[in-house]
Amino acid sequence: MSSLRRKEREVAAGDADADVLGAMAGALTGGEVSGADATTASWRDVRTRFARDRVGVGALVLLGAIVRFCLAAPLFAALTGHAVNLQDYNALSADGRPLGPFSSGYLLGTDSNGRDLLVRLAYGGRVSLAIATTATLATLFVGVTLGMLAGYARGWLDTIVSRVIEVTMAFPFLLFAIALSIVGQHVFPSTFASAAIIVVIITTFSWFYPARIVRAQVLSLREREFIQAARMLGLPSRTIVAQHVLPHVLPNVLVLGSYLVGINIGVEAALSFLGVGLPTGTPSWGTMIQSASSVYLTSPWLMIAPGAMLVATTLATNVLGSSLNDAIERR
Amino acid sequence: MTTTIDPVRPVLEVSDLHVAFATRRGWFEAVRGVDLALAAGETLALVGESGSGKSTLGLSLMGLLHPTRSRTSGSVRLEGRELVGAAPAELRALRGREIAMVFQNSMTALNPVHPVGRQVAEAMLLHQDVTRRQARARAVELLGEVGIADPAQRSRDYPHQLSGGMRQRVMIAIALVNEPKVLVADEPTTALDVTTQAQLLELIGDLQQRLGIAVLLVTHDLGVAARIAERVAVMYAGKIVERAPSEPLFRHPRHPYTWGLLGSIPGGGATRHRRLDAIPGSPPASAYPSGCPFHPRCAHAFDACATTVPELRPAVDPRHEDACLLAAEVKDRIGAERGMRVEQRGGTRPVESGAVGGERA
Amino acid sequence: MIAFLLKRVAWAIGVVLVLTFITYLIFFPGLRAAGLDPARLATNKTSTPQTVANARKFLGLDHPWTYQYGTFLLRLVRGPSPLEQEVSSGQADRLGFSFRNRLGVGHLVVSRFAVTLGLVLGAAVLWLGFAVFFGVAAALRPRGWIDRACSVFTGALAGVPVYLIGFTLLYLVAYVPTTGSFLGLHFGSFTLLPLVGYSSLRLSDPWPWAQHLILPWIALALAMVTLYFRLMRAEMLSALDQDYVRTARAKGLDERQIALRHALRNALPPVATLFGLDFGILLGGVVLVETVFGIPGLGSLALTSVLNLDVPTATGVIFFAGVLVVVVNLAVDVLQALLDPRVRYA
Repeated sequence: MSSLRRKEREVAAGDADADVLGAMAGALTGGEVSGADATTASWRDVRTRFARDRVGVGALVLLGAIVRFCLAAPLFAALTGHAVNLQDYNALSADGRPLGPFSSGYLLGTDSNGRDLLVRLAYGGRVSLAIATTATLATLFVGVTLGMLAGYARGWLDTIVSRVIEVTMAFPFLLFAIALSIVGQHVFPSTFASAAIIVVIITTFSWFYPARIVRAQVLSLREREFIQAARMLGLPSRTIVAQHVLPHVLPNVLVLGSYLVGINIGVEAALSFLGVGLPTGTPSWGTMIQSASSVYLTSPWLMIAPGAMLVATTLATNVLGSSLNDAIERR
Repeated sequence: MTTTIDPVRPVLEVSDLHVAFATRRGWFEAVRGVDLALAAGETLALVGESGSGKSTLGLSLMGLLHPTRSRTSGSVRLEGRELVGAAPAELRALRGREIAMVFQNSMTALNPVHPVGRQVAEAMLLHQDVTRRQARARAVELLGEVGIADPAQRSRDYPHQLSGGMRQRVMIAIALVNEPKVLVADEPTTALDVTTQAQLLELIGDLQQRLGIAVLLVTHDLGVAARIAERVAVMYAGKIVERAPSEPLFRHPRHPYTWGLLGSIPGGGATRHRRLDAIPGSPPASAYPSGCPFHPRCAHAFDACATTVPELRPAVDPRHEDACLLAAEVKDRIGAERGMRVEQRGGTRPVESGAVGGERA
Repeated sequence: MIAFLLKRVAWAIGVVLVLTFITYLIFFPGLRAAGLDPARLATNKTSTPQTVANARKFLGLDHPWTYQYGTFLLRLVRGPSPLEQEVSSGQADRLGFSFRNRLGVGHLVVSRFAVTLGLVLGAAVLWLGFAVFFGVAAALRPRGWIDRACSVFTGALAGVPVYLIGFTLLYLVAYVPTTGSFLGLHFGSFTLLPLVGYSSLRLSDPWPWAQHLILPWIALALAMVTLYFRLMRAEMLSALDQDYVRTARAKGLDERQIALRHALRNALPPVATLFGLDFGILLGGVVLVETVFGIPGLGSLALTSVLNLDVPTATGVIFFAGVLVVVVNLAVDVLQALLDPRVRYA
């Protein structure tokens, strides 16, 4: 279940003519890659076009609502009077089972430990979103840096980066993720370390997607007149890359970033679901699904709530990514 | 195999043919009332710039236009059978059997994943009661007839392994395998270099004479038309603007558009005109101008051209028709200046293409 | 073609070497850093000190970890050494010995692999069948009702994790009929499908096996189908838009013949490539599906051995999974060359 790889192909298949998507498909098949060149279209145009895309705006609104819901977690705790880890055995039914949704004082019901599901959902979302966002930023940072280096410097640096990418792509991702995570947790036993390990794992197995796209784009940008001119003027490479190459690469990176957030939320959830991600006591949508999996037949809402949040977030970031791509690409 | 040539009854009769496409801004008429007749063993060249509607006309004869995004009206009769509005199954039975087509770009028009021999045999298997083995054998034989050396070996090759000229020969073999009555050749030689182009035109001419096929040659290149066509029809903006047997058409062109086309042939035209006269502007692509559709680009246009639609009419020679409002004397005078001598088939004057050649193996 | 093959094989071997090297890097220095003893972890809690000592000998824990990696490669090539045979009572094979299961790792891995293979192949038939059939049908009539229905169906599944699909199926198809109640409504109960578990395939009576795998097949297929449907549809649309399709029409072929003989043959190679890549990864362990449905496949073996830090088993499984991925990718390259003459003669 290399979900990232799957995603790349999925979007490539869904919308074959979109530039970034095409580039992602290229990144997958190893074909030549081209990227959208968005500096020709100003950011204001992009915003105007995006604003006209109702589906895209809808996704952004949904994503905004989810983020606000998660940020408001302490507010829910204060309003309900239920701390996130408060285990109230009175908040269970007479036979010791979790309370269903719309129970008194518990809008979404309680879990097997008598904890308020609503509060945990919001706190769990914070954890899930924080891990996914951090992992995305790390992935983009590593990927864009290496991709630009390889594409601009070419030569042996490019060869090394390309080889490493090829080998990494041939790895059975999930098995390695499990091994790394478990051994890592034994070496660094803390909740924070578990989260950090997940970020490292995600970065290790996804940095090459931005790297490939950026590398290909930089390789072609390099031959363009304005870069040639800048080199002729004797500008240092660092200046050329920062001022002339990076702005062309950023739009694609933004689109990819949007997809990655959704994918990474899924990866964290998958790892936590398998019991190799975050410790079960720490609320995240993944750990909540994991602990619900033993009682979901009798208390399905315990799985439906975090599952729905997970699916909604993934959906929103996917749609947002594809709408951004359309807006940047100027159809 | 000899077809009796009936001089009275044409094999293909097109009358008042209209073809329209669905566009974002509604229907756009690409062919606007064309009449044509084609006799067995005859070659008619349909000449015009891209966008003149000539390829659309060719495709509509085959019934190959999109069933819902295009609209065809008028009449196309193949040996008396009406094709416009015929049932799809009926059309399929005729396509490839009675009327066949050679397409322009042989690299993409041949299926890359099938050996060429199979692609030839497929058409035969579909329409004739033959075994697979017989069809294969006939395909190999035919590939030899269209001038492919070592046809048994080549028939197992895939399109990308053949040169552009060979692929086009394969296209011709596919079209001819069922010995159709009518062959529509849409820019059959455009992508080829000059030598190959000449060989292929000769091949089409030979086969046509031998099998008695009626050929409709669609081309933007008057040089190509001059080589093999007995008659030429010049198309502009969905209409035929001039039609005549080759000799008079090239010697005394009567329509300003034809003058322009002749002038844009490098090395062609009267020897006095050394420079290449491209026609200014481009054909209408979304809406037609009022009056004569050519008047906005015409150097000889006068007031009436913007309001009056000229009809296709003969002047002195009943076989030479044109749709232009200019006075007959003016057409005679300028036409005599612009005209050129045509030597058909195997002539010594080099025929050069305005198109960029160069798809070499 | 031969040079191409040799190059690909050399590359595949290189990848496997890197992959196993990193696996050893994770487990041996990693566990040492955590202060854990692989020999103790590799054996059961009830094992005698003698067994633990044997495990220590077998794993070569008295030597640096590069030595352990070396013996792993050596064992792979030459088979187990006499010492290894002795401490494992002759059970060790080329992939080593699992002290917890008292079985050769190779033996263990292959038996689990058979389970996973059945799961993945069955699901592949479902999702490929659906994607090819409906992808072609949708492409033949874009925006027609088949196209719309399939797009809605697959679109709704996009982004739903496979374990949520699995749990939903288990709840609706297995649990609800068995208990006869749904959302407070009660009706007669009947046992349709078992909730979890696995039954080995017996050719004389394959039903128990299939019964346990129906829901896993469907769950995995539903998780995979969106992508394949979209790809198939897009490839088919683009193939139908090619000039050679017009040529085929000009020959007088009907739309069905055109779709099957001309367009499909050109639309399939990308789908086959995608399938190859996925197939390798899935064979290496459908961990999530196997976990949800309690199927003892390669994925769950990997998960439990890693969770238990059972190093000999874990390294063996990861090696095997890695080999599967590269071998299947290699097969895809060859298949690609067979399907597309342009690649073959390139």
